[in-house]
Amino acid sequence: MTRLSLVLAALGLLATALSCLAGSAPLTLGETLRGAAGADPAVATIVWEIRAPRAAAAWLTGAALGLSGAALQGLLRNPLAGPGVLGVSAFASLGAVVAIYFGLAAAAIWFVPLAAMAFAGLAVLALIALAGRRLDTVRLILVGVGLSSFAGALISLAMNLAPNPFSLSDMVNWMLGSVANRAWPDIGLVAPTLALGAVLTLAAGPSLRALSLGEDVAASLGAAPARARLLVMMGSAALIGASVSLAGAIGFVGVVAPHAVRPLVRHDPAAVLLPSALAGGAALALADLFVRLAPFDQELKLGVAAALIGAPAFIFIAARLSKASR
Amino acid sequence: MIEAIALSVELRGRGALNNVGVALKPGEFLSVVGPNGAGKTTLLRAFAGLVEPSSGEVRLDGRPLSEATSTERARRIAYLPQEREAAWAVSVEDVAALGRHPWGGGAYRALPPGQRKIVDLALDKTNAAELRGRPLTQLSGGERARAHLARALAVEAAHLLLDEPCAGLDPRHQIDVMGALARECADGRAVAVVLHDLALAAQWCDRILVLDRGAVVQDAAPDRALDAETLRRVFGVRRIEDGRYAPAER
Repeated sequence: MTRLSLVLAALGLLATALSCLAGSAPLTLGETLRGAAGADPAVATIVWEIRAPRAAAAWLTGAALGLSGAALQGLLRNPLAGPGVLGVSAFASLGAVVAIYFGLAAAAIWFVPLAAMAFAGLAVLALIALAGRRLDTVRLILVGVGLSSFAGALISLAMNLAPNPFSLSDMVNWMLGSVANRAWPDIGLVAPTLALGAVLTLAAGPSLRALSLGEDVAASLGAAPARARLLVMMGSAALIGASVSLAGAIGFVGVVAPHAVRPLVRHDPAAVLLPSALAGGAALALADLFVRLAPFDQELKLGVAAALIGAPAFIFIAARLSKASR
Repeated sequence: MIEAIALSVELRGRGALNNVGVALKPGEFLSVVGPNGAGKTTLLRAFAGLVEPSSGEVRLDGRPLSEATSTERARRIAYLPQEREAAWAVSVEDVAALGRHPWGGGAYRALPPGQRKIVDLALDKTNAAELRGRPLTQLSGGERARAHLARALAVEAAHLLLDEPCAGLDPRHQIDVMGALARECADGRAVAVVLHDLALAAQWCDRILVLDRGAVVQDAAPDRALDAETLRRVFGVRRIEDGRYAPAER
């Protein structure tokens, strides 16, 4: 692990720790520390069962999005690529919305996350079926844009036909993206998928490096571009599906985090993977801390905060890119 | 040695190569010439194992190329495509270090000293050492060509396949590139280049392969391969004085 990764990991840990110590309950720092150590069961519950899982969910979501964004950018050789481009995010959201629409959330609490992950997998199958066996990059992006729009249309349809105001507000909440009220079982449910996604994505690292000079050079260096594509797409589906099922739709982290760390790893598409994950995790953990402490009557949703910061950053990156290519 | 035996390749339903037989031997400097769309790039890609033959086969050192693993192939054959992609602002030394990928390479600084020395040598051979810290995206066309060539040489493969290594280069850089490749031949490597400049091909190469519409028209020493008949029929030109060409009736 490089020094950069250590610093980013420490930053994530710091944000998570601060999240556990701060909150709306009127407690001093001393009371919180003593309570968390076991002196007061009520405080221990607040710290370990409410704040800690929430902070962990925020960090994990950011890390998953940062990692998949870095891998997709390497694969598609485009710094503006991200979890949103292939339609996988949109399909995962669609899965959650469909589950809410049919009232499955009430039947069992794990139905919604499971539907999100299943639909993310469905999106990858559709991509492979529609973009052809060789998974040509341009076709992949175009099919992804189409899938994204289609999922968006179906989400709108579900909202349009929502059976009652409660399910509509559930859907809206999901689309806004939040890690409020996440508990350890929610995290346990997605942890295996997250781990699988991380392993698959990181395994593609060396091939992504070889791909930086194009697919023919990568193939001539023995890097098997088709295998790299499959690894990154499967890995991203797992990471994105799990993150959406944990936190709903949260944009821009996956695009901006890799971009922020890339100059620090000499623009190496393989070395950027781990720091991107750690940067995404730290960023979202900090964003959630901000959201919890921000003085609004209604709690600001994490997805809204991420977009408010991320969208201008995205525009900044895009503007600088077009200037560089001129 | 790489051989094409009765090699035919179809691209998008159209024949790109038709029953081609040609061999590339160690120490040989072969240039592949022909008009646009003659199948030069396809032949090089087939030699590199990047396109599937529709019939016939490519052999690497006597064995079918399709039976070699991708790592075996990558260690024996270095390939430089015509498109010089540069997606990221990777430094020139890291670009050259990619040539070590078949040996489990990585970024330049992460390579073991022995591998790093090979990369340094490749950078020296292509006069790219002075560029080593510069990002690929900020180089001029000539500088970028040198960086990519260093990457191909860093593979230290027995076979070098280069698609228009001199395209877009000024005369001095063209000579430098051809000179560097001639030295690789002298070291016993087999070099095949696709060229559009017939004079450059005739000046530097031992053998010229003339392709037209996917078929071999000539495979001989430069003066015989580029005879008046071939020039007129294949290229529609005739040679006038000092190696210059003028249009001719086909």
